Amino acid sequence: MNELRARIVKLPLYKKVCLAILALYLVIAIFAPAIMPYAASDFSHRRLAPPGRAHLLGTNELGHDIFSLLINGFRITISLALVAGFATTTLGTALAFISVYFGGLIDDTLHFIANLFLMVPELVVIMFVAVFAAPTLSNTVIAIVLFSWVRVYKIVRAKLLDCLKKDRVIYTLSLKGNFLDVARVLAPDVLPIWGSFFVIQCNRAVMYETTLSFFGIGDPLAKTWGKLIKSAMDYSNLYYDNVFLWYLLPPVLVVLGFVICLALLVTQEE
Amino acid sequence: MRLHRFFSRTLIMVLVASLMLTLVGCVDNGPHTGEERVLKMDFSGNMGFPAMYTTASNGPGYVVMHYMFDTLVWKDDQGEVNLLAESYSLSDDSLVYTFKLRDGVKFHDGTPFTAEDVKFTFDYTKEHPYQWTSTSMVKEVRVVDDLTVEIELENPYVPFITDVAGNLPILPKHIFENVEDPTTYTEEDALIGTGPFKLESYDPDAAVYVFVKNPDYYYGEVQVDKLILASYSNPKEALLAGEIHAASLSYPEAVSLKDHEKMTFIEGQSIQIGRLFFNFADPALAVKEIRQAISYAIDREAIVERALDGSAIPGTAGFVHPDSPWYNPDIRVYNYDVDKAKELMASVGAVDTDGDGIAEYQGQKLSYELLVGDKHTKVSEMIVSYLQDIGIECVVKVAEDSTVKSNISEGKFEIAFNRHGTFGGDPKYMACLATNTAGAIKVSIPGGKRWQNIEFDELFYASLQEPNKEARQALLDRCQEIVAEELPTLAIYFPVNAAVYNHTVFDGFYFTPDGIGSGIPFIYNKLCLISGRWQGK
Amino acid sequence: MRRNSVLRLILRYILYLLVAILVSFALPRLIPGNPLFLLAGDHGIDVPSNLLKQFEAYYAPDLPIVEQFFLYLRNLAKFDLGYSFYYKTPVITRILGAFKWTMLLSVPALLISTMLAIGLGVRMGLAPKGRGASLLPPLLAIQAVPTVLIAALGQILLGYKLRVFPASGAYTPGMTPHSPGYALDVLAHLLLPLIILIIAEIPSTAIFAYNSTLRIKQEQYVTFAKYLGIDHRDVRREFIIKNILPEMLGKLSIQAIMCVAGSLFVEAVFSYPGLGTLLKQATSYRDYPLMQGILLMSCLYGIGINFIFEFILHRYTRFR
Repeated sequence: MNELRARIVKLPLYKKVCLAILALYLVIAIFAPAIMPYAASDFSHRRLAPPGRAHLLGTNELGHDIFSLLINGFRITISLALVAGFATTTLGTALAFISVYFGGLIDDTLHFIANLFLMVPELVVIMFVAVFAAPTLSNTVIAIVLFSWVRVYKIVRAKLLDCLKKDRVIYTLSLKGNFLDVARVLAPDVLPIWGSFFVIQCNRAVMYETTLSFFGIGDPLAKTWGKLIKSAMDYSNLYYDNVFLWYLLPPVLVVLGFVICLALLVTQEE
Repeated sequence: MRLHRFFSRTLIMVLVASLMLTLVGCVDNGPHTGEERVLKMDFSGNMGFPAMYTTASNGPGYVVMHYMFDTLVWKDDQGEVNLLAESYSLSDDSLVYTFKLRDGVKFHDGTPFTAEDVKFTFDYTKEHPYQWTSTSMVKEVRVVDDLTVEIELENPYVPFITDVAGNLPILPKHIFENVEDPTTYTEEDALIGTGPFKLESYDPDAAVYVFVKNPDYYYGEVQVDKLILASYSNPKEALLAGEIHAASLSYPEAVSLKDHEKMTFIEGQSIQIGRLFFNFADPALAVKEIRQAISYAIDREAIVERALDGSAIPGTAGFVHPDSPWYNPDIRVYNYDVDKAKELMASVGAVDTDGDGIAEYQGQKLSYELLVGDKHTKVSEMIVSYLQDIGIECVVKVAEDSTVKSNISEGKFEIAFNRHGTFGGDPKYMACLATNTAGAIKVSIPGGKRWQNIEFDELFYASLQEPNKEARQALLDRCQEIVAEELPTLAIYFPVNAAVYNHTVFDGFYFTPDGIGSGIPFIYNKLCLISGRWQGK
Repeated sequence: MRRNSVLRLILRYILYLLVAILVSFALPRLIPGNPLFLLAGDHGIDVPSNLLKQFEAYYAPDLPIVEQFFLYLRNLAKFDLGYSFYYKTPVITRILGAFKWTMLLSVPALLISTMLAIGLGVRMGLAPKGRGASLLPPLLAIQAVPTVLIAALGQILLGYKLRVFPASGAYTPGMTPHSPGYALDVLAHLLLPLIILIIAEIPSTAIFAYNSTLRIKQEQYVTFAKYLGIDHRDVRREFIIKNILPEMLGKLSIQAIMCVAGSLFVEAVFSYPGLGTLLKQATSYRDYPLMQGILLMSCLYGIGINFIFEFILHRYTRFR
């Protein structure tokens, strides 16, 4: 614990700020039900009310409280990010382990597939899969996970190949340690990159979900930030009477804050 | 050094290539066209090559084609007018229509239009089904002389004039007799018709259609020289900026321009319906009282106001549009009343016995999947909440629109919400509630176990063959009463369309009664451009 | 030996190509539900029998799957990607028509963004006392933002609110390539999406150039050049830029793909008539043959670009 604190203290100021903001996001996501003044499904309010005491960010055309939707979006979007980020990173790392441990044809095949994936923009492929699948949040996550593990795989694999030359690994291998033994020995070397990839992939998941939402792909009732942005943009009189200030801007700023903080957190200082 | 040269050379080459790409088509050698009357209208997307068989299979697709092709009869703001036909008559047995054709009509390539072309079109559409009109009820088409044609039907079919003669574009025989497969035929002569416009250019990438007027149009002088249809990502802005002169806008957008000095706001008749489909295989949904309870529980006025920005008429129960001349105003009315709904539920024993907020009917929980298209999620959100209030739980299953349609027609749903068109004009669309659904559009017929009512069937079939208007009205009145009582389907709303045009450029747009062709709610009827007035300088 | 490695390179790319074709073959056959229903359209009374025939002739759902694949390959060899359900024209003509607009947008964006980014990255790398690092956070921030969001905000602000640029389309409807002022009109419509695409593409190249510069800066000949008092501008040009170019070439191949991908999303926002808008239409009409065609073309494009760059690098290592 102390070690963690020491590492945080050593971070440059902007990273500390990012960390604080992200912590705040997480707190909001966890305590969302307590923070939301109204239920996310409650549309009984006066429609299109401007911001005021009863509705911090006004209401939308259906009569939802926009602030409540936004807070609810923290919960949905951040869980999506965490699940997709974790799954992608784990999948990529696991495949890298398999690749390196078994080598030979398995390694060649996986590496071949990874190289092919790198040549085609992954977001385009994700879009295709998401369009074909039924529009549910879990399918969106699956599409993101299935097609964005490649970067993780490539880098973890390179790192592992490096590590294999280390004594203790060679030692374990020569003792004919099984797959899990080797994985355990290699874990300390891989964990740091796993961590930064986790952060990067969380960032990507939100980016991708926002883009998919913009194209109207995914479950329209799962009110992620991306869906809130999309529904604001679909509202026809958005740019009159400054409605966009409280309808469109809050979800945009929240997304920007999240992805930027995540990206800055893992910057390598030279 | 060598490397350096290699790179700089590649770079320069790529640069030059990209510059050349940028400059493609920069040649300024077109003649200056002078004072042309150019009318620009917003169009919702790319409709493909605008020939009869290749244009998109949606409303705008028909509209873009109709500028070049004429039908035997057509509609203007007052209703039916004769277009290629000069007059027509119906035999006493209601089986043979005789059309006298207009003299001196020419196709765009100068070939005279004759009865042969009419016969050819009917025969051709039997071989190559046309997506907007079925000609399957036609037994034979006979050419009497150059300008007279007789069309004999298998059985009397009252909506023949509005649905077939008023909808089927007449093709030039001399061109299409050589076309094996019209669905892929995209040569220039596929666009030769008798209509008021000729296509000057179509840019398939940018979705821009440019038409020029047909100077020899037989029905009257076309009031613009050029007509441009293009899609804009924000038509309201484009209208205000003067980039376009007419647009179909969303209702609130259109209303916001109501008081603009240059703009005219027009509201169209509603000819579409958004409604709930029930699967009658479910024992509870097959109970009349439960469907009535659902009808009482849903506040249709609130849905129209909140989910649709007021751009619709709240649904009525008889499955005939309240603005229709065939509408029966004395049918049962269901005003929003939760208590009454609960009473009805209780009367058939559908009550919540275990206190989980969900009612049971014959031991079965009233918990359903509500299938809904991705464009109607707001409506579905509200319906779910209303049904919750009377103890019916719905889980929304969102799918892409065509999936919803196919699931409904295959009976793969419990409760479904869908919106479809062709809900104006002759009430033959009620066929979708009858046992024999012939004549109803595909999207309106649910699959699986359906509602059946022998009395309704008999009355409805009688109405299709009843030439006397009052007798027919009586039959249809009774049909509506039955439907309103039984609620085989539940109308939630009838959407209203709105459009805005710049009257300082062109004045005289209107919404066609019952829509263009078979019910397309646009203001772009070609006859507007003949009866209207050019106001620009 | 040398010829052998070229052969292996080519073989590897042929394998990539085959796998990509296999994927694009398999995708529409994995669609749940019956895509034929879509042919019926909103008012569907009958499925036009000719279209049905075409669909069957192209997809041949009755044949064994292996024969279907060979049929697909045969069609591909004839550049036949099938008929678009929606446009009822060959998929290939729609794709090629849109591709020229995508190229018009993405090629200049790629070149301009790369040049600006190299300039920026090298300057950052050479800035005294590592001050260039302070520019990293803003670059990373831009990189993290979804391109569609930048595009949508740019369109609102510059297109609708300030009306500096035309906000949608590629040219004013009604103009033809022969109308006077057509080129200027096209340019005016190009500017806003181009600027946004450039902004979106700069960060990753700039950061890459920055890292390469830091590495090269430590090489002895650079330090030596400084001691000799050679003008810093010459150092930058002669020693740094020239030496990071080979590395940048590798980056450029990735960037060439990312630029087209980014362009797809920018186009969709601006209704720019390229592949992005086509893709958006194809997804909203569920035009499977068209979507399949676009997927295949983007795979082929990616593989093609990679092959070209890898081939150049291969040739280049021989020079050394």
